[in-house]
Amino acid sequence: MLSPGITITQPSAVYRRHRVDKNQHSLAWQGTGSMSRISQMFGDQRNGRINMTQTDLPVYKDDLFVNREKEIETVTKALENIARGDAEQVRTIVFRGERGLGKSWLALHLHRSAIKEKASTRIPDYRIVSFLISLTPPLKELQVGEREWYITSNDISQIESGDERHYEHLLQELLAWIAKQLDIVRSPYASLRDLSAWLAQDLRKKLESEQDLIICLILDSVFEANRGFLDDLERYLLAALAALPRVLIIMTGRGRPYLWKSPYLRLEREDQSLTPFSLEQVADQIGRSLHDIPEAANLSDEEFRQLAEKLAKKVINLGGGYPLTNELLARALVDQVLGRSPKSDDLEQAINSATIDNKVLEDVASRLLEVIPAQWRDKLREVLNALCVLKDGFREHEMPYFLAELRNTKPEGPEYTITAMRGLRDLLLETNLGRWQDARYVLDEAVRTVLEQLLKLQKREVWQRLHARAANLYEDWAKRYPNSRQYLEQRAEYHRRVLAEDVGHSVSFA
Amino acid sequence: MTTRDKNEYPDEHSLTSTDWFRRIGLRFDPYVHLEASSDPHLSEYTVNLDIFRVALDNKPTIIVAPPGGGKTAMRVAVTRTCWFDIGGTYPFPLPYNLGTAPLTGTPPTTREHLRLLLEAGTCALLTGLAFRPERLFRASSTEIRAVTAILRAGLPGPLDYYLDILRETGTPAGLTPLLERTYALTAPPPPDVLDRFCNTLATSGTDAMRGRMEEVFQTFVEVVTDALGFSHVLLLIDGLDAMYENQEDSQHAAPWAFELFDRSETWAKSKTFIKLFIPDSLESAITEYLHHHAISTQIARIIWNHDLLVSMLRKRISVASEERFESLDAISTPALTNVEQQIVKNLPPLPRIALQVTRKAILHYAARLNDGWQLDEEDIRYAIAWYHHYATQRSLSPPSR
Repeated sequence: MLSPGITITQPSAVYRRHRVDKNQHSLAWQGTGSMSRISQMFGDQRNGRINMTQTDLPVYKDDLFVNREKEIETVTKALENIARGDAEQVRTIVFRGERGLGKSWLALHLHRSAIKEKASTRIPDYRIVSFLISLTPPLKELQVGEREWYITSNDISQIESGDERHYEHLLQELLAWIAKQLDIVRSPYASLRDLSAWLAQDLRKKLESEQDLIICLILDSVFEANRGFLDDLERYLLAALAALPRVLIIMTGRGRPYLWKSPYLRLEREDQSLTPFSLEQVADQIGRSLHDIPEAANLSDEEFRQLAEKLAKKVINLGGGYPLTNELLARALVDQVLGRSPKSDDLEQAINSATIDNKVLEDVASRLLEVIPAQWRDKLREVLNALCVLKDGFREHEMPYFLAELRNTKPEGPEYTITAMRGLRDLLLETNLGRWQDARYVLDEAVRTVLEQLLKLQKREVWQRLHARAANLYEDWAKRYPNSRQYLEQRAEYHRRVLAEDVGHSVSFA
Repeated sequence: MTTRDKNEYPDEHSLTSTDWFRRIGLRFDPYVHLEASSDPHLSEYTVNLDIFRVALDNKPTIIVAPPGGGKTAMRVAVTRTCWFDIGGTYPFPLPYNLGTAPLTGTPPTTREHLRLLLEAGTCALLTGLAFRPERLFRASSTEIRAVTAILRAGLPGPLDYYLDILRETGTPAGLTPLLERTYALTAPPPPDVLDRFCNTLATSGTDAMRGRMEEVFQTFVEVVTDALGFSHVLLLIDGLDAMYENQEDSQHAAPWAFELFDRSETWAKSKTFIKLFIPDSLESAITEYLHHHAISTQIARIIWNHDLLVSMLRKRISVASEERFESLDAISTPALTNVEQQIVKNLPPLPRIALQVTRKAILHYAARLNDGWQLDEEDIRYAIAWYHHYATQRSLSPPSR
């Protein structure tokens, strides 16, 4: 999607509540400040198409979707089991993944394409009706499809401001929308509690009377949402739906999970972690995106494949294979190369020799960090920079040493107390860019990878100092804390190795 | 790091303040409730998920655990889970505490069991509906009359008396201590909706249902499953070992359950399933009876080991921190890793003791004003020493039945 042709069409008769604020800036959950999410569009005068700027978020298109066969198969099998009426059924599937791992694309792909194409073929006697409920506002360029409901930036803002009456209003709207989509009409003036009770009963009756009907509810960006809102979402909608016999609930989310109360959401559930793309998959992703650029038109299929693979290698080295990062980096690299040497016969060679500009990585990093509300962004960016060398995570007592090292000072004073660190830790967790995993906090790996690469490129000496700080700290603690020695020694060894592999480093150990 | 946060840790007496727990990243004290029914977060902590599953399903079941092994906690968690939503197709939990049966010296007859079950069921139903009146509002007027008639037939006092209490207190929580303590549910309706609920029942113009106890109880089940939309009825039977007569020899308690199991197949046909919670000392007597009479029942055992205890302690931390972290490791010095493992490996595998000792470590941490900014090895050593000291003196509170 380096230069996607964007079709402007009139949306069909679908629910379009998100459009009331389509020109507003989007908001992330857990924050009240507005932030720019969509870059300006500009017209490409050379080829007559509308191009996106380098770091626009890619908009879902069916033919650009790659990979995720395993996840699609999981959903298909769950639907088959539901159709068969298996006693041991998965009623809820949760796809977890880090920033830019393609969760929203997967949700859209399942709803718009995969369930229709795959599941409906396997169980032709059943009518699968899927709904997409997105708890993140849509990209401005996305055409909202049938049975798709998007939260708005304004909704998020009101929920985050603590307006609990807005939860009720929003959920009332959502329940009424679902009822309408399923031809279950109830008074629009009913209270949320009444609507919830009626919907539970009416859906049960509908499923009893229409034995070929399977309902599939897809919820995108769940864990990122406000916890109080999720409590109400479960109480008034999900708990009732999860208890029904032919309903499958699919969720996607990033960061710390949410503990559901309903047994059907907790027990009859399958969790899957999305993984970054392999080299082949990144090449496929890039190949589809590159397909339309005129500069590639003269290449043979084999040349084109080789070009995509070379780009994929560069992109994986820089970003770790996360689809959003792949897309942003590949697009930026090609734009960079074309800017310097626009002739197609030079393209492959130019890409081979291209090195990434700091600015490109900085743009990608900024894009990835847009999920942080504006008022916290600078503060958290510094914390992330300080901690990005800690691939295996950290605990709160480690944070002051790295923050101080980044600032080239000592970890002394009120800003380095445990209380201060806990405040920063909570901000990281609130934005879902950090989470507790295997006895430590870990940063979102997609973000961490890019930030460490950027730090290494921009401020190599700081990057080296941070690794040296880590090696020395863990070595020191290994001596002081014999119960944790082995584990601390392993960590010290990792940082020593990183520095040793870094050609030309000049930082000595204490 | 050399700077220490001063004067921010209270002494032990003020530890219950939520402020202190907030400072360590917890919304509440996850170890304070040793009595399951008083813990509002209980259903969120469940770690015995396989047992939880069979406790909810539609099969007669015996759930076995040692004293203090989490039977009551499981029963309460099942109850609250079933009423979490507003009107879905969840099972109806009917808590039947045999410990409250009249002390006649002999096991209750079938009729007595049915009368007690009806009373317990209507107490639970009225309390539950007061929290979720929307289930009643969506019923037809005929169904509402049936609900009223069955409530009048089963409640220990006049229905109007309980409705007056609801009107006076303005909250269904007013009924909980009076009728069914485990029904301390969340998300009560607004006062005007509660008032409408009271009026709906009070004006339905129906007398108490009369008839043979079997028929009345059967009607109760039909009202719950057909009119009110519950999927099936769970008879959550507990307290078999708590009866006065059975204190001397728990084996004497087993026959009190026989009569109930004689009816289990009949009940199963009408969507009613026994879930009997017993201590392990009663298992052989009851299973022998069931085997001899070819009564089909599934048996689930709550078996606590150190790994499960670690999971339980961590789940509580996870809930209290809103999933921000799952272990006390998060607030510990570098010297401490696997805090929960270090606590439980020195204790007998019982949740109550693990909870008490973990809380003691936290109390010690909170009370340390010097160097008190993180949980340390000394806090754990202190708590374990406290347990061993009091355990030898048999001073720990007795486990719940």
